[in-house]
Amino acid sequence: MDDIRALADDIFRDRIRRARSMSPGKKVLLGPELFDYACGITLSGIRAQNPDYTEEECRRELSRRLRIARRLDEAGLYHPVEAVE
Amino acid sequence: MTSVEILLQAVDSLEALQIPYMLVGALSVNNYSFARSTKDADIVVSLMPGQLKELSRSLAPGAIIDAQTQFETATATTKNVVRIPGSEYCIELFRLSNDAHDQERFRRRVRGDLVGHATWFPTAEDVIVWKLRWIASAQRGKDRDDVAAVLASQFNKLDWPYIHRWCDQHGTRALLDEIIATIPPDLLEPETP
Repeated sequence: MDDIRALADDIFRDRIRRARSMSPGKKVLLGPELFDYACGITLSGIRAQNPDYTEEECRRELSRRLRIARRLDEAGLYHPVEAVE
Repeated sequence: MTSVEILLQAVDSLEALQIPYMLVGALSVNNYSFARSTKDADIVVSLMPGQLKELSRSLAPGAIIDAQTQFETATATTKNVVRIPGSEYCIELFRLSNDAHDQERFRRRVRGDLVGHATWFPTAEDVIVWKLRWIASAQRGKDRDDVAAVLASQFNKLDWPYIHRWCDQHGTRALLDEIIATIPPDLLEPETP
């Protein structure tokens, strides 16, 4: 357990040190860039899992999975209300 | 459009329309710590009546506002989701609320730069204070990781009396101390040049 903790600390330390040498703006833009990259990997997985799917069907499956991710992420946090405007 | 292009166009639109705003959520965490993937751009806006539709039209071509406004229970704010056709990346527009800390973090917001695009962020202190409230309310692991990342990256530059004042008001001081205790101690020491 101590070894795992030490490894986790080393990884965290390395991420912080690398981040300190990057410009803040670049780090912010990496957020959406990494999201696009992750979507690309997920789409590849969907294509491999469903070779008969069209590109449109693959995209729909990606959207469905992201909707699930958002619902899990926001579970219990938001409630519908009357429009403000 | 790529997600980066969507974000930059949103920032440029807000600047052009002179709508007071700031980038929050993961974007603000990335600004003060290290980059993690973010599937939406969370933006706090102070809108005049009628400005929401004008804003969403200029955010991206064909942008659609979800008709349903949502109320967030942790900090009593409301949001509208803006969807961009052909993209999975969303823009979430949070209305500036009457919450005392929401008001203060907005007043203290600071200028930032997205590779040549001027923008606004909350201060690092306010990112920490806000996220701690979310952890207390939502118990999401990623919020805890975000606070640890900002603390470790900014520890010796932070205005601690300010953080402690708000944490005491929100009842999150013990949570703050608990997260600090998980950070490798050498990262909390002043950096040697």
